[in-house]
Amino acid sequence: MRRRAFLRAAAAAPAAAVLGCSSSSDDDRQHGHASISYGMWDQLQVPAMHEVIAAFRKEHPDIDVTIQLTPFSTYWTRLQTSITGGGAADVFWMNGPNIRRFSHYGTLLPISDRLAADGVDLADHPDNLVDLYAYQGEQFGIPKDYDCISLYYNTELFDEAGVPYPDDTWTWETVREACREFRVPSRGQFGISSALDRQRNLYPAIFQNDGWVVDGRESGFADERTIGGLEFWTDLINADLAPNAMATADTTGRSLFLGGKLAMYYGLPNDAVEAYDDEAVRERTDIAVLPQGSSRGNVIHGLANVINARTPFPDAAYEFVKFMATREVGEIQGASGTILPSFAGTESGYVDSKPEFNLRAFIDQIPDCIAYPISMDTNTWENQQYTLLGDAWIGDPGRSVADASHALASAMNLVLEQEP
Amino acid sequence: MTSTTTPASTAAAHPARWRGSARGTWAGSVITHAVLIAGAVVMVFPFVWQVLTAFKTQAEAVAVPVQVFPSRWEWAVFTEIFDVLPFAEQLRTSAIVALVRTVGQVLLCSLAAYAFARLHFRGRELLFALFLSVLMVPGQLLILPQYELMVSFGLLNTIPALILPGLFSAFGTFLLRQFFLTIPAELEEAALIDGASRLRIYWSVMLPLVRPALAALAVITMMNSWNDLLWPLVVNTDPNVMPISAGLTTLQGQFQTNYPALMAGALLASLPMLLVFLVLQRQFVQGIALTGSKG
Amino acid sequence: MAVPTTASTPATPAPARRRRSIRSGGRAGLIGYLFIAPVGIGLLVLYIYPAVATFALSFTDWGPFGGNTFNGFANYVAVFRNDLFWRSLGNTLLYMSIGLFVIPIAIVIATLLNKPGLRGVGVYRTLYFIPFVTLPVASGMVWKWLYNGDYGLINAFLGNFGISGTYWVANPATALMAIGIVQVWSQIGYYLVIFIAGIKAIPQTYLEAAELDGAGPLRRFFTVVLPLLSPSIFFCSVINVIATLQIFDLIYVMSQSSSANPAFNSAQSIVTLFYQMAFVENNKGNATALAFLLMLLIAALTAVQFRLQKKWVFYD
Repeated sequence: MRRRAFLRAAAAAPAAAVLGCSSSSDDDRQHGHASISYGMWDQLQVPAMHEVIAAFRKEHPDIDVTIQLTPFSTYWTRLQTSITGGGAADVFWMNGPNIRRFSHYGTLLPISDRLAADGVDLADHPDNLVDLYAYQGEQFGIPKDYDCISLYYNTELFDEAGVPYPDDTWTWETVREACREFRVPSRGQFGISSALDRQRNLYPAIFQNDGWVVDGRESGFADERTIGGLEFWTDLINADLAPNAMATADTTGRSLFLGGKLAMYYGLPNDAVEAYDDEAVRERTDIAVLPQGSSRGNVIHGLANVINARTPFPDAAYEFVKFMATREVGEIQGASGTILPSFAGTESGYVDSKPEFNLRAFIDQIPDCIAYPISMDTNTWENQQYTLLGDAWIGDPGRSVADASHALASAMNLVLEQEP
Repeated sequence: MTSTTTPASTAAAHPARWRGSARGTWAGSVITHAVLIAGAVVMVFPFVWQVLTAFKTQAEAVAVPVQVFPSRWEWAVFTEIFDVLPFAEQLRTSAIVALVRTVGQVLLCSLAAYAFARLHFRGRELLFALFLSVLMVPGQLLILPQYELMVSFGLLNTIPALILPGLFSAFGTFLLRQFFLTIPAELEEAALIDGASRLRIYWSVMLPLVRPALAALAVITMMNSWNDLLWPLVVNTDPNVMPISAGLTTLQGQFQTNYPALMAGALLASLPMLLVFLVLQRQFVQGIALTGSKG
Repeated sequence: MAVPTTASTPATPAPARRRRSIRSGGRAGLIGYLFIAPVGIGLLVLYIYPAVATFALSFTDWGPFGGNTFNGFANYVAVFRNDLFWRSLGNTLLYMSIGLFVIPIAIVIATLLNKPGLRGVGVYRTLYFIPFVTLPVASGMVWKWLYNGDYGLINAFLGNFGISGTYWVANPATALMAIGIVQVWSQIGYYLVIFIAGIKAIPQTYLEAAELDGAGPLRRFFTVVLPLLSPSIFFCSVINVIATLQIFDLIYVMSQSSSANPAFNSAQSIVTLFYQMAFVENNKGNATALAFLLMLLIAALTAVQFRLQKKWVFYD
């Protein structure tokens, strides 16, 4: 606080007057005209967002919306800097790992009261996703899209190996057996990617083994069931039925799958875009629900639109976020074929955009889903996952995943303890 | 040039002998070329890769195993890039930023460097150490306070915000100081006796003598400015005032990157820089021939 | 200042006296301050002041979005207790040692490029300049492909001799070396430009005099070129140490950008750790303490180099 005051004093005096809200003037506000900015990171979704903004402007001709596109690699650095320094977008994309920290420190505008006053209920969006963006009883964001995990498979390799295509009867055991059929060392061919990828691989397997990741201030990685979920992947690696973490660090599971080196791959809805764009890959790819472990289980995550607490136009920003949660916007987003919109029933646009793929698999699995695990300092312990579990992922059976997981649990507990 | 520098007469007077000695070692020449060609291949390879990737399809660009050549030479992406990005505006922004930074740095840094190398004043060593300390702070640490400064200057989303931090360089000052230190003191003292002012000596005597260093600094500054990434992305969100380096990164998605468009855009963006280099490199080639009274 | 008296005896300009006029304070001193003022003020406002203000906060507990409370040396204690700090410190010093190889390489190439009568020198110079205009993403792609354990060029080459390579940037045992080599590669252009300028600035007369004395090319290189190039070499070695101790981008591109890399910690540098702490974990207090410690290390190593320069750097 003092430092910033000092910085301002050091700056030219007349310039300091425009601090924080350089683009807005009182005149505009009095006449009900507002100009808000919308921060996002995905170039692919820009066209759909232009459509959304055009539709919004039909209802609110007095509100201008401009898009601020920042690539994902710098999005969070930029956001933190601009929130702290003043000058962040009025409405912007938020994800699960970051939501609690941003809401806890008062950087986001709470919207529960406004939603209640408007009689808006968010029942049309997956409820565990809506909950993800609530903190201490207050709603801070509304989901715009969602993703869970499905099994992508290469029909050519299945036909060649004479393995029947995966369906909802598949279990972990079926996967293990199939992987033996697919392994062709001379071609560098494997049955499945077991990459150290929390959202695609680790969490679904943990949840399918009735394990858990975080609960309050406690890590779930010391739990036998959690470790059992991880062992599904490390057993495959240690049996040389899946590439180890060094191989998947060099060539991602997705690239290996697209390149025809993998028969199966746990993928996000978004992964369908690239598979679909390449005609050869499109023809040999299809999608099924995940094989089940001791239970069905999946992880759901999605982005939300949130409002900058320091926006000079809270009303306009709220109107925009509310509008983004409607069926109309869900349909525009779905039709663009880039993501699965979170408004129930509007996914058909996305599903129809790639009729050759069984994209229904994603929608069918919503009931199996557990919300993406988060706490306040999610990023900190997420980092620890990869560095501490990595040891057990390099294909050396001497390094036990149980040890690595226990080490992770203690490191993670330290972080959780210190959370505000 | 003033009377204190002797024109490049000595070097020009003996070109034959230099050539003669080089031709004398034919084997040496072959080895020289072999080393230089091998080195050139290593240096140029990624650029060639960039060119090849620009012509590929997205699938070919990320193929496993790697596909070296595109199956069809596709030019469409070079026009597509103009639809995806405000390419011309961004190129213009990059050019303005690079030009102002380069001219500014060369002028300001050479002034300071000359003072550090040649003038004596109280606290010189300490001030120089202070300059150097700027280089020792990781740039990532300064992002937030510098951003706050730009906010308080009211410069967010403007071209001056892109230019400002890069206008002042401890690196450039240090580099030029080293070169000024190599100039024989006699040249300057002669001019002082002639009654020339310090500013005049700096401008007419010393600057011409360190021309190769000025060219080197210009090249380095211009390239750094052209490739600058994090800073423009932090202070700028308006695509129309974004430099091309930052504009191109918006093609990199969270899960996938449009590599052909990225490479094609980068290729187009690099052409002006290549031209600049071809012009500036004559400054290196000419070199400096001075015959000081020492030696 | 007794200016009139000296002016009255212009016929005998005593060298000692003239020298003093250059070295004394007074007007020349004022001019000195004026000359360094433009850069000095810019650096002060945009770099030094923000750095000092930020470092003051290394003694506070930082909220992720601002707001500080004094906590003494707690951040420093936390950094010293962090195993990753010691590990990345070791790694960073290794990067620095590998990075220094760029200097002899650049000197050799610069010397060859300055060889009198060399054919195609313009073409070579342009080719060596190309990495400057190559997109870092493209260089990253190429190097990753070269190093790729399953489909990489290096392993394909080694395979011809029956040697099986490894996953160079994903294997904890090799990642640091592999990235260090790319660092050297990526820096050659910079130092080349400086050394070419440095060699060009060497007065031809010196070389000719040496040649008349019967010195061969190798001897001319060691007795004339190297000593006269020493100010540039000194500059490059100082700058290179400063730069490699802050190595960041390359590690990020090569080993941290995509999915989980088992060599993550083995390749971690102080600045990548700083970035993790500051921007991923939002622990700005610890991060700032770490950055300050790094700065002390850099300052110490730079001071040592300035001390040692008297032994080997020749200024005219």
